[in-house]
Amino acid sequence: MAATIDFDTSLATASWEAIRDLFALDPTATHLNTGTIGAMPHEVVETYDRVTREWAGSLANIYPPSLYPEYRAQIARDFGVDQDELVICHNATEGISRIVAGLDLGPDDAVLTTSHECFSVLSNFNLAHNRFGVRVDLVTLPSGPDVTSEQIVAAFEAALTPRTKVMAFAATTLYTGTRMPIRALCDLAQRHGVITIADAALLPGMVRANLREFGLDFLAGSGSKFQCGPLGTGLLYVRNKVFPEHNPLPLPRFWPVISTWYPLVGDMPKRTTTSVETCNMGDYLQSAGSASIGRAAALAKACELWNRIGRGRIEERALELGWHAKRRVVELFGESALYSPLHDTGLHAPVVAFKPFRAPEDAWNINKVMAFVDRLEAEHRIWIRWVEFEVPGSPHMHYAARVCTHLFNDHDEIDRALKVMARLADEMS
Amino acid sequence: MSDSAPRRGGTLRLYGPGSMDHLDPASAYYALGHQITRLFARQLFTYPAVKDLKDWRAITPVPDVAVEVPSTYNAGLSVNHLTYTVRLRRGVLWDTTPPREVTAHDFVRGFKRMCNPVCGAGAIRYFTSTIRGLAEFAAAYGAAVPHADATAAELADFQNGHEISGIRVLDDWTLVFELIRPAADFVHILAVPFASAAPVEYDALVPDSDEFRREVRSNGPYRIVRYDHGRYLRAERNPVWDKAADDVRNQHVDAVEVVMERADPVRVGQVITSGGADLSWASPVTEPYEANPTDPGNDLGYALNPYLVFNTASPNNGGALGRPQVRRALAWAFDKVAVLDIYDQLAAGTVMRPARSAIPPGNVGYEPFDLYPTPGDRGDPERCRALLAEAGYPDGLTLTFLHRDVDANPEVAKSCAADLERAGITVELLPMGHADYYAYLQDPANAEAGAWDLTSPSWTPDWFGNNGRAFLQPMFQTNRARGTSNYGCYSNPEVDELIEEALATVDEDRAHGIWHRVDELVMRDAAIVPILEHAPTIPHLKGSRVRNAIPMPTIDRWFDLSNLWLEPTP
Repeated sequence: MAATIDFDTSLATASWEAIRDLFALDPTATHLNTGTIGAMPHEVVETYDRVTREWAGSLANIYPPSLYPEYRAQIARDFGVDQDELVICHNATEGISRIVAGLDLGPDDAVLTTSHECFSVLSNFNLAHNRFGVRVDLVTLPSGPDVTSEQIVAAFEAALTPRTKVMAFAATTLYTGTRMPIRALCDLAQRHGVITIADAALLPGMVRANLREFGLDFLAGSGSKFQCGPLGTGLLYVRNKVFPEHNPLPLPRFWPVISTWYPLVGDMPKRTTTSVETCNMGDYLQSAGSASIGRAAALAKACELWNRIGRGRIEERALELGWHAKRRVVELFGESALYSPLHDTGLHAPVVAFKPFRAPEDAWNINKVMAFVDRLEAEHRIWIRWVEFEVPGSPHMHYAARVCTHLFNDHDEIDRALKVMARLADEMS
Repeated sequence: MSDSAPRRGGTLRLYGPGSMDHLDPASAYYALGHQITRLFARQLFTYPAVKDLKDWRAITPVPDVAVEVPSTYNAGLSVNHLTYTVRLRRGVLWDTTPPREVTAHDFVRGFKRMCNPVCGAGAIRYFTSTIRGLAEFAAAYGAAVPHADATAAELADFQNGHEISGIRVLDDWTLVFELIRPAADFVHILAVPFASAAPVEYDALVPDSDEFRREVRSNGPYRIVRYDHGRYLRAERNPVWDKAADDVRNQHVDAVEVVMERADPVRVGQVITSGGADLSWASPVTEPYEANPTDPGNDLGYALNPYLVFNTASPNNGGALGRPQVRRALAWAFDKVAVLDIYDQLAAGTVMRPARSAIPPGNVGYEPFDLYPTPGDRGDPERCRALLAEAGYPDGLTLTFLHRDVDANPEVAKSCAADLERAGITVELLPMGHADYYAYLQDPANAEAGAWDLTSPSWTPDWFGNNGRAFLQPMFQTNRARGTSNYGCYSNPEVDELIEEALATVDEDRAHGIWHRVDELVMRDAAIVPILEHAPTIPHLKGSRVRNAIPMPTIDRWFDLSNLWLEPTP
């Protein structure tokens, strides 16, 4: 049901309890799985429904609005970029696919990425490997409370080779919840003339982000996780101008695959070498036949709502709740249970991965962690998820419980849930 | 003959000169016998019986005792493809007293047993090169129990006191396999009958011993009630088998009976057409056909049948066969078309061609090449003679040619022997019964003792599709353990290294190239002489009662006995 209070003037100062009421949450459930799917605000649901109804049976020309010029311009501002650099796509997977498919990669090239990436990143690079012969080099990220930004950057630096053409990494890893040192990694890449891609599925809506200042070439994010937009929404950023203070490298050759507006004859306009746009790459990428206006409108509404609450405020809240959850995990399970970073606060995200069970070998017992998550849902209506990832030096796949906190959670809820988890883990240990 | 609805009852009778090599699934490695293995020993995955060999499902493993094929989407396959979590279905029972469910522990026991030093798995390298810790386990097993006459207690002590680090039991119904490296063919490997479950009762039995053959247990639709090696086998319904726990097999006939006796293909055909038997046991007896056979498998992997293996460990002739230049000289001698004519006269009903490489067409790694070309594939005994002289044997050699004494094998041996004799080589033919032949070859002690110098077995790939290793690894990677399929004890470190390199890549094109390089190397070393390559089917003769007889590529196109039924005799 829609919230009935008019928050327009008060959201910037509204209490978190009041803001929680904006969301379509089940009051009997504890939602600690925003890393998989966020909770949509009622306003977003309404917008999606209303705009979809407006277009139902419409005979209007669908193609111009399918480019989402206003929505893109609005959302682009939220992320420090321009409309020509931003595309509303269906999800981060589609964004990554279009980035990888659009790059000129060949058998002399290598991509450097990590084993902690989402399937969508690894599968698309494997496709490129099979299709174009590009080599895929993987580093396994360190994990645990003592991980530092320097270690992560050093791991990438050690794995760079003269063939490395692309560095791809998560903005926040979905397994260990490590907020990657994006700027430092981009600096490293730029020193070597390497293209950068961020899988930022968890980034939009979690923290303030000026994509241009990151220095990235490409980024794909989800609209339905921390941004709490509708399912089937994502953001694709393609650097389309050269701001030397952020990324002095020339724009990489890029093909806007899946494009209605790509010229039928001839080429696109030359891409710029300066900070002035000469070719609207965003439009080429956005033009892909008819599109759901309601979906984009709803995502824009979610972003607008975030602005009304205040993105800085949300970031602070999300990270504080994440930090709270992390401290509770340490209290209840011990610091050594953490797979997420602890001491380097720059790596913090509201995503906490930990081993719930005491016996070390339970860390590689998929059945036990699956049962743990299933029982939390079935017996306590607490929604988290389990994740799997490599740990350097271990022959085993490690399986962890992952808790994601977001602005609509609160401290008590997190405390209660983690206490339940501790009791259940004790029982299962 | 149209198929009817499945009918329950009757005894399916097979007749012919063949034999299983072993009854024990840990060592059984003869496709003919796998018709029987399929009836009583189940694996985690297996192949369904699919009528159309062009249908990809005929060569794709499906769950057997496993609940599902592991994938990233069912949390069975880790993102790095190094960890497989296999969940077992409930209700699969051993025919023990009382009946007991098959558990993950039974599969672990099966993996341990295949490393046993008494009678081990012929393709143990599939497993040791793939599953973490299995090579170490096998090596430690061999070192701890170094004698072939070990007692059951010695074997059980080792097996129960040692674990394979890369196979973990999470609970009775969940197994985890941790691999050394990603292996796209791993589910195929788990579908090889070596990877059968083994009940705890096997701890009291020496693998494939007479006692084992008496006490063998079943978790399939039939159980062995009588087994007289090389003579007779009878399997009857397993009363505790439950169709609800087996998606691929059925239990239509009451019993399966195999009478194994010396008979030529004509005699086998007469017995079947006169109603004295339903199917051939080993003899290539075909349905009548007029048009030349075509390949119904859509270029599905060809088999080598036969090929000649040189015993590189033979001390005879001063160890001549250990020298590649001697083997290379011999490789020129053979008239492959003469052998083809022998099979043609048998009306074998399949596409056959002279073979030139260790990997025949349709298998990963195959590229056409011929290092020993002779006009019309007729052989060049004079060149053989000259090269032998260059190698230091101007007076030729005396070689013992071991061959099976049934079907076309004696004729093939005579033909090859005649080729060698034309090159100045003396050949002593050593016939051996089908029941003993492969077990004899699988014991390296016989090779090392010089009991034979060359022989003419056949090889069909254990699986199709991604099967680069299915010829080269068992046939040529160094393996002198009992049970080996590298019969001639061939060993070349470069080959071993390249095989490991091929296994280490997940790049199929690259792997193909490496497998081909291995093929070239083993052919350059003349480890074998490929004689004929066979398309993957023959239209086996079927008795008038037989319905729904589906040939399975993975058991050399023999039938899935668990899915056929019998109509009453009119």
